[in-house]
Amino acid sequence: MIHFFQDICSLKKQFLCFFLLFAVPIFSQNNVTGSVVDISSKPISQATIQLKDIKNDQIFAFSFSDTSGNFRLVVYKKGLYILKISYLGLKSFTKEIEITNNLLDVGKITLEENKIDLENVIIKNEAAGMTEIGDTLRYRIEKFLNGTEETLKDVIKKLPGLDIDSQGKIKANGKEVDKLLIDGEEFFINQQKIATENITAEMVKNIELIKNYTEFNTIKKNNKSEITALNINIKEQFKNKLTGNVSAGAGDNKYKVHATLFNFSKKTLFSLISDSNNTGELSMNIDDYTKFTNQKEEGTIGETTFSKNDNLPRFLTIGNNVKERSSYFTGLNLKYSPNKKTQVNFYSIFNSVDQIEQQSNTQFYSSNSGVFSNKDSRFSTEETVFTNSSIDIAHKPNEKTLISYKGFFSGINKTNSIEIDNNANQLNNATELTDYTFNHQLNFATLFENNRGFTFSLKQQILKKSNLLNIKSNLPFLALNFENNAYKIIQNSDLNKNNIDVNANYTFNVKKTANSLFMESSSRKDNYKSTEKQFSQFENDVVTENSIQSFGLQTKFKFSAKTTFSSALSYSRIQFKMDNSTDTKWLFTPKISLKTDFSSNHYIKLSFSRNIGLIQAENLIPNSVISDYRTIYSNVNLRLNSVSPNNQVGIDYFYFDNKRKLSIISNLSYYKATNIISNNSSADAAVNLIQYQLAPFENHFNSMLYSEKTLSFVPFSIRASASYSSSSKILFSNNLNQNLKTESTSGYISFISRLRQTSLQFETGVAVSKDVYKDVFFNNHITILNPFIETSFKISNTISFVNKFSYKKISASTSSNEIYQLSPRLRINFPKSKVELSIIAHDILNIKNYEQISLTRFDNFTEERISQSLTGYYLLNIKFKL
Amino acid sequence: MNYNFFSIVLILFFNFTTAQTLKAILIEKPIKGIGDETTLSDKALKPMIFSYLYSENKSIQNLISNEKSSIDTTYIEKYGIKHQTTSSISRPSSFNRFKDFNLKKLKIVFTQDNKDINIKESLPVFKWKLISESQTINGYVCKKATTINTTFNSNQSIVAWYTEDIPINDGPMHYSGLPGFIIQVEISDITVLTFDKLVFNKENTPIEEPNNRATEMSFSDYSKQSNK
Repeated sequence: MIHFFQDICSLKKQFLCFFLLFAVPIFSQNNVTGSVVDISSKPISQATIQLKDIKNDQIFAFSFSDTSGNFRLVVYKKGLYILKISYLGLKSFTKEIEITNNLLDVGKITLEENKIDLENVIIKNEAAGMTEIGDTLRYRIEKFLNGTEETLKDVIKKLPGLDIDSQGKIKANGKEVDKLLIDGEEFFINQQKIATENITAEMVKNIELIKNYTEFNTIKKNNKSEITALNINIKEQFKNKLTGNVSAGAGDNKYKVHATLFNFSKKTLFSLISDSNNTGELSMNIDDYTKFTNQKEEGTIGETTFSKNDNLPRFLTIGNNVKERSSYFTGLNLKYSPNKKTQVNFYSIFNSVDQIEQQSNTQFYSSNSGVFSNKDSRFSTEETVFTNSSIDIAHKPNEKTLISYKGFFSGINKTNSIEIDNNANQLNNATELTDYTFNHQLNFATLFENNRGFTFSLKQQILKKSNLLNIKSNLPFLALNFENNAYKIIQNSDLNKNNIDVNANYTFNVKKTANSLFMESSSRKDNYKSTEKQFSQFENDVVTENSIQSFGLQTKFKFSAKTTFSSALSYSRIQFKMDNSTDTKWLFTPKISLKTDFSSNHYIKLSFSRNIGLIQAENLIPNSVISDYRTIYSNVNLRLNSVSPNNQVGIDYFYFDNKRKLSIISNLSYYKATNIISNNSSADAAVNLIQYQLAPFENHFNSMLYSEKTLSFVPFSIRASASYSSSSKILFSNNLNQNLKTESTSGYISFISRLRQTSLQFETGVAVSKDVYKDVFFNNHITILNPFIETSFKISNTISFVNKFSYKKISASTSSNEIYQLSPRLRINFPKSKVELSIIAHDILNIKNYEQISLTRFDNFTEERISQSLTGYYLLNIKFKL
Repeated sequence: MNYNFFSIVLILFFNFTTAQTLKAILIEKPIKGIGDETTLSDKALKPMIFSYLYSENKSIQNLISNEKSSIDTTYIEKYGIKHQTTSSISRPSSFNRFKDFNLKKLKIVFTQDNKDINIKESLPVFKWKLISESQTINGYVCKKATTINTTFNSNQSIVAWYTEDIPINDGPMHYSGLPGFIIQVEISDITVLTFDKLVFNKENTPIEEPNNRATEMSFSDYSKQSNK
């Protein structure tokens, strides 16, 4: 019986073996063979050979080359794969292959030397908590934090080499970061301040700084993108679900309500941020605003435009120098990637700000009779509503084709009323501005074999702007002869623009040069109109029509492994049309640059470019336009066809070294432009007349040196930075040219604790800055001395305390003041509940408005402004976490 | 200004060539013992540290921490009765593990309890299973792979964490054969071996095959000899 049972068992086994044998031929074996050699044709042994999934990073098969460089890989499924071959010290080779046969021979593959990046391929910097792998620098953030950080901003500020400037812009090694990524995905487009202030510190897993980031919206080519991105990796527990918080704070006459909602999942990234306060805090900055409103893809036609800053909302330019401010903000961000091939990015922002300003100004003018000053005091109220929406759809049917559509709409509505007290004159200067921009564009890009490619784009920009200026006064002003003693100005101005651009580009490689042939055609139609009720000299109606056809050749050539030469030679035909007269000009606008990369963190770049400065309809007014109660603009010698190419020469030097305990960053740049649009001004006690005029040159020099040293014998780091910039510009005053020199010097030195054992961290130091404006007539300066101490202390698991104390001494030519600022903040976090309590005190030594001095240089005058600043406040804040 | 500027450029001018050598430290951390009482004493928990060098398809691991074998007598109390127990820690005083990937050769040379041993074997080949799981170890993004180690009379389940960022076919102990450098190996839940302080050098470093006074033998000869 037992014997029989054993028989059955062995029979079963045999059966199974039979079927197993049978099963093998169904999954037919597919072999991939080849060999690996180095550039001297020597076989490479032990190179890693991998077959990867084309969509994700999954490995299907791998092996190693033998001593004669040969390899063989076996896969069971036919189809598309990525073949990757890598060896220590050599550049990895990747190629898309399709397996259709049982045997695919990829032949001899040469691995090239990896000269430039090598030093930085892998640097382990254990002591500093940073790891550099290739182009990515990863921060192990826990090494730098002590648990008192609330937002991503607090985290970034504590990381070496990274900083957030007063405008909320992220800076890496002294340079602005181009992209902000969440889990490797582009998100919070143009909203760095919003993102860093709303993502909470506890959500952040680690932070990576990526050089040469490749956007989804571009087709991957071999050349480096030179885009820097900061990637924020989110902790797993905050993904694939709705997270966020709601907080409400109230104090004496002050309130702040804030809500954030996030959902980060694989296919969808979503955020909704809402804020309402009357503490004066803003949700966006000037940089965000200019990005929102100027979303232009760079064209190949070198073009510079000249515009006045007047149209920027004042709440962005004036900083904290306002008496009162309340703001309401809502921002929605949505990114949807239905599959690996398509991405949709959408955002919409609504921001409304009301503010009151009170200031007394002294303007120093130069005139034929010498220097004189004009004093006024102003009380202004402003209401601004700003909205911006953008959609960006990109589809890549395969790795080599990209179709994308971008559209955005931005609108602003601003009403501003200023009560001015000037000598004996009481004025009211009111403006009402509406400004709409709609831009959209369609792009198509495809890459053929041998790195040949073709791109095509079509874009349209529509702009409508209207401004109503209403000035009332009890005495004559602007040296005008008012009828019936009605001292009133009602000026209406409108600007309409419609631009259409078509661009086609063909790229190809010849030996070691990458070339691209391009053609661009653009048509611009501008219309500027202004009327004034009483005076006809403020009537203008300018219609300009420009059409530009350009063609040219872009070349990139590698002299050696380190030096790259690139040039773009373009030839343009510009046809101008204004007031029934036409003119045509041919212009040659080359761009040349030479860049030497000593390493990826160390380069020098020389560049020269010639650009066309197209003159805008606003600058071509036949008569005059009133800007405010004492400023009139007009045009002297600018004609539509008086475009003269301007030349720009620049030197950029960048050095960043991150050794074990010492980092040094240095950044130098010099820039000189010729034939720029400038102006001639003449001022007297009643009127400041500004006339557009061409000036021979303008130059800028910027330098920055940053160093951070971790001391080994005491637990401190020393951070020091010095920057110097100077610029000189030709301005005309009473038709005499004069050189305006601006110099600003700033520096700081600070000590940052790196205490391991305690949960106390502090940074203390001193910041100094000096700005000087110099011309023939004046020499104005402002100096700020600012010692500060910032402490953060984790008192227990639940309580953390952050305090900022600073002293500011501001001295200008004729006035000076001292400001003490103290902003403590206590946060109580209940570990198991979802509630967080905090007591926020902001600038509590200045509960009443204090006075802030600032110095601004305008075209022909320097204004020393003493303005009422935002008051300090305290809030009791409750936060509920979702 | 200009003079200063160019002198900075000159000072900072470096010349880079191909990276060829990897130096690192390998830390072997015992976690648990084998047997009834698996909790290890402080002495036994002390990690062993090896230096590591890789160049031109050869690598060597040398023990650098000062080790010696010991037998400690301790007492444990169970049901009110004291039992005498010994805990013995057997550690080599010198240890070199050499691998030549071109010749597929593995050599282990060590001295334990004042006895020299010299073992020569062919490089073991493992059947790795790649798992789509990743974690960051010492700053490197590592992917997971598992295998069963049956070499040298053992039967252990092995978890390896390798990084594709370092294209070197090597790893701790005698492990290798993954598409990237194995940063960490976990042997069952007994021992963890991790590479740390990785430094790359541009030049090749010659690696000599280690030797001692003992005669070369295979592992099976060695185990026969030690079981005598």
